[in-house]
Amino acid sequence: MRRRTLTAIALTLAFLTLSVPAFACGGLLSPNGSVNLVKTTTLAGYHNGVEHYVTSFRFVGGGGAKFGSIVPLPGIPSKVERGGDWTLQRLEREVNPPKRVIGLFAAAESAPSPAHARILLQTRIDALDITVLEGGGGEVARWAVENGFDLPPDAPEVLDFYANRSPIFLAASFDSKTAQEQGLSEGDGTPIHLTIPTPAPWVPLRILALGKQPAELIEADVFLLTDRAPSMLPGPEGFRATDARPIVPGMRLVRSSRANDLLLSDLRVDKGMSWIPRNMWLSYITIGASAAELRYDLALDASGAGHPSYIAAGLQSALRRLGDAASPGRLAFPVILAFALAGIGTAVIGTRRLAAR
Amino acid sequence: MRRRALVVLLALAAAMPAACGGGGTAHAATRVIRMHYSRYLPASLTVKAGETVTFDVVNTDPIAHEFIIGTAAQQLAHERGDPNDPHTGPGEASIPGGKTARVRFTFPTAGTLQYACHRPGHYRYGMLGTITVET
Repeated sequence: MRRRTLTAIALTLAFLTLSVPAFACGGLLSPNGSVNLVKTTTLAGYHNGVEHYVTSFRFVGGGGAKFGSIVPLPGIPSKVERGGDWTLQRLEREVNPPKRVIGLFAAAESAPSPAHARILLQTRIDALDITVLEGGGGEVARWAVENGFDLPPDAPEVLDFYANRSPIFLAASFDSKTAQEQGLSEGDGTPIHLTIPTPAPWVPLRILALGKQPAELIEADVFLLTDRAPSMLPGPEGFRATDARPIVPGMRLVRSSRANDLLLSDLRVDKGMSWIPRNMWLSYITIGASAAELRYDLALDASGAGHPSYIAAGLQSALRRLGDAASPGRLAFPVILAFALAGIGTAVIGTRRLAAR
Repeated sequence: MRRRALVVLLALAAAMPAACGGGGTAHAATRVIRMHYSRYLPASLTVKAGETVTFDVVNTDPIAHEFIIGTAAQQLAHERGDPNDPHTGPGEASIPGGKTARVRFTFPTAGTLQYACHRPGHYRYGMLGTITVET
C-alpha cells in the first residue's frame, strides 16, 4: 500500500514537472467547421475479450461555443469512467523518455430518425458531457446537429463508414461554463476510460481526419497492450506480416516488445487500470498520414490466429467493390490497388479544390 | 361504363409523357439535383440561354446545405460573406438536412455559372457544380 502511494506521488510529480502534451480524441467538431490541429494519444488494451480504450479530450476554449468530439466504438461500453491521471503520459514517456528528467524517473523506478439515434448512456465526467449513442450515420448526425454540434461536410460519409460496421458512437462535449468554473484552461485534457466487451477489437483512425483538408497531416500515437504480439490490419510500416496484407504509408510500428514490469506496475496503480495482468505485449504505433490517406482503422487480432478482420479495419467496402470476398492473402493486391486508385482520386480532387479556391 | 373506361385510359395515356418526364417543355425546364455526402449529383449540367429552369434540390444528407447559383466571382463573394446569410435571393436556397427545396432561375445569357454551398467549409470541400449556358 505504501509502495503504491509512493509510486503515485512520484509519478504525479514527474508528470506535473514535465510539459504535458495536448491530447484529443475522435473527430473534433467545432463551430464554423474550424479545425484544431492537435496530436491524439490513445491506448487500446485488450484482455479477456474486453477492449480498454483510454483517450483524452482536450478543452479548446470557452466563449459559449460548443466544442465536442465523436468517437466510433467497436461495441457498447459496459463502463465509461474518468481515466487515470497518468496512463497516457506514462506510455508517452515509455517510448519518448525525456533526458532531462532521468533522475526523477529513476526515483519513480525505485518506488512502485426519421429514426432517431438511441441514447444508451449519458454521464458527466468533470466538465465533459458524454453520450453513448446507437444508430445509423444519418441518425447520429441528426442527433449531433439537434444537440448543437456543427458537423463538417465530410461527416455524413464518415459516420456512414463507421455505422455500417458498428452503430455505436460516443459524443463528448465540454460544458464551457463548468470547465471554466473548474479552472480548466485551453489545452487541458480530461482522460476517459471506456470498457468495451468485443470479440474483434479495433482502434478508430479515420475519424481523426474528420473535418480536415485532404493534404492536412494527421498525427497520432497509438499504444496497444495485448496478451501477445497482435496481428494488425492494415499492417503498419515495420510490421512483419506472414501474408500479403496491405501495408499502408503513414502508419509506423515503432515498438513491438514485451511490456516491462516497471511500465505495467506503473500503469496498474493508475485509476481504473487494475485490469492489467502480469504480462502484456506493448506495441507503439505512430500515425503521420494526410487526411486523404487515412481512410482505414486499425483492426487487431491478439488471439494468436493472425487474422484481424477486414471489416473491422474498414476495408470491407474495398473488398466488395472488387467482387472477391475470399482469402485475405488473395485480396491483398486488389486492396492495395484500390488504395492507390483512391489516393490518386483524392489527389485529383484536392488539386481541383485548390484550383477552385 | 365502357365509354367511361376508355376516357380514363385516354386521359392516362395523354398524361403519361409529362409524368414520366418523357419530353416537352416541362421536361426541359425541370432538373433534379441531389446532395449526397456533401456533393452535388449531377456535378454539371447544360441549359439554354433565356431558359427558365425549376430545380428540385434534394438534400439526402443529415446536415444542412445550400444551393446558390452565380458566377465564380459571385461564389467567392458568398464564400467571404456572412455565414448566417439565409440566402433567399433568386437562384438561392438553404436546405435543412433531409429536406427538398424548389428553386426557379432564368438564365439570361450564354456563359458558365456555378451552383455551390457556402456552409462553412463546404465550398472548400468541393461542394460545387457547373452550369454551361448555351446560346
